[in-house]
Amino acid sequence: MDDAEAETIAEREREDSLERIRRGGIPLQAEQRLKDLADHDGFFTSDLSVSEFHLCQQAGLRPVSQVMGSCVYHVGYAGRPYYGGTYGYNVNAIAAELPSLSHSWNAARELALSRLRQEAAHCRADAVIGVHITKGAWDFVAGAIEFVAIGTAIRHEGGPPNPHPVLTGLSVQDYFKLNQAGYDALGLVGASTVYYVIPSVASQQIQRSRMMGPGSQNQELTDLTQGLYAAREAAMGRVESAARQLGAAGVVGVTYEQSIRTYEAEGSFGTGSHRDLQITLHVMGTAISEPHRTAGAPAPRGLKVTPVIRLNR
Amino acid sequence: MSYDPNSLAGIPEAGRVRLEQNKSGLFTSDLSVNEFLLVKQAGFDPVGLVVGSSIYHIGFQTPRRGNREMETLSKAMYEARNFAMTRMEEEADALGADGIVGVRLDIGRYEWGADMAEFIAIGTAVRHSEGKLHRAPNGRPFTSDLSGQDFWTLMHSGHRPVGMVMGSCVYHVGRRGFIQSTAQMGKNVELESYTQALYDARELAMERMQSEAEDLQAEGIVGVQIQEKSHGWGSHTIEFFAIGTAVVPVADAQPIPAPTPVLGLDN
Repeated sequence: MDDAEAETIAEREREDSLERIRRGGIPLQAEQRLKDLADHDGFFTSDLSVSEFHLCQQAGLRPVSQVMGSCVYHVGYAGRPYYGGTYGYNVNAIAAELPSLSHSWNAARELALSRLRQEAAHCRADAVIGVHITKGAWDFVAGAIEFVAIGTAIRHEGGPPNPHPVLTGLSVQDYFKLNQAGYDALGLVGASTVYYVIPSVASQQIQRSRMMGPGSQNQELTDLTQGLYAAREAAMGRVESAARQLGAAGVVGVTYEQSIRTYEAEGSFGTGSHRDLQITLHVMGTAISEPHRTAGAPAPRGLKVTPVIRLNR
Repeated sequence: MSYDPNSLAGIPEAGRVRLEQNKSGLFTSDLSVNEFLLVKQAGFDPVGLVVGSSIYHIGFQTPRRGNREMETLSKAMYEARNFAMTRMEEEADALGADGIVGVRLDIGRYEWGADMAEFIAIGTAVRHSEGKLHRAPNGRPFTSDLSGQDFWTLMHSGHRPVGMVMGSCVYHVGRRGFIQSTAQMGKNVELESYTQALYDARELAMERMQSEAEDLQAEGIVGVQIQEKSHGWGSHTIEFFAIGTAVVPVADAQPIPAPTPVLGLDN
């Protein structure tokens, strides 16, 4: 096989991989590597710590491969939400979701997680442990975000294979402890939302004045607080519905990330500028099942707690 | 903001729907697995992640000369935190919780300037699994910034949390006058006026926290933290903020067996 031929083959593989990505899949090479790993009993890759690795052996878990899912997503432009009447003048506050931004974050996360799940399925894993998500931005493309989800695919030794690997953000220790206490991890549940809040005319006046007028008094900007609540409830409500769909009893380890940007906006009729808020929320956690019960036995009360004094430090 | 146990004022429609869902069984929590299992072991069930927020406009007070408290700012910092805490408690109330563990109280200021800030309180509401009431004497759900581990240990040491108590004092530290600074130039001396200012401010914050705990008929306060921050007011205006968890003794505690010394294999 000469160089030109090899190049043609490589080119065809790149095209294939691109097509797979378009369909929400993973590149050809990744799939091949994972399938090879699945077939080679014994060899594995993992990002487990030594303690976790040791515990795996104790707990009848076998690491198969470190798995990843990533997605570079372009977040489009979203202006201020339109509200009826004259643009730029509103007596009451406006709090509205920016659906295109919310959608971008959610779609990017779901794509990355779905690729992670595919990788896990290719190496015939039962679960992916220690999934952590990083959100990054690259210099080479403005306005794009990269979602990377990384974890370690594991198999339950002796158990029947699970065609739908469970993703969890738990460490091996936590996964083991939950299992011992009678709970199953059911999967990662997450939601992102972006809201835009324009203060009411009264709040705008408070924002504008400082030493005199309404702004000299201590007071809550209730309409902005309400906007923040609306955004939070949207995100948390979605996480809960996702957990319900998995038939979960609860969600543990919820991370709540909130960032607020202010935008200087010009009021109408020469009233001067005021500050709008753009609220971005990311909420995520691991859904867990009802505790297992054996017939007749009381509900499990969890693990035995042994108080210890650490001599390390 | 006065506290009304049945009030959901300030919680929007979507929030009420979520709280209704929580009541019907599904819980959310920011507890780690260790915390979750220990809270269960202590006899409590997590019922939901509860949050309180307030976006607050801080009023204006002209800084005067000398060491003195900036009362307007002190009040603002206290009131806004109290709004956030009260809303969080109302959410817990709506869930029928006994209290809230792992409370975090933060201030987000972003690039908003000195006069606007977001105050947020977030924690996991818990309910006693056998229905024994564990509320504070004033009928509110207890709040506590203790972790699940600390909560377990506290419950087994014969105490229970009744509420987070806090005190805030924003203080203007007066500049030294010309004569004083000239006299002190180049010498190793204590800057008494500064020592006095910082001392007083801390005392005021701690005293306020203490009197809150006394109102709750607490036995004492554990885990007090004192935060010192100048929230964009310039270098001479500083907030001293003291916060801790007030505890009361319980009669029927089962003491923890004597701890076993271990050499851990982890750090």
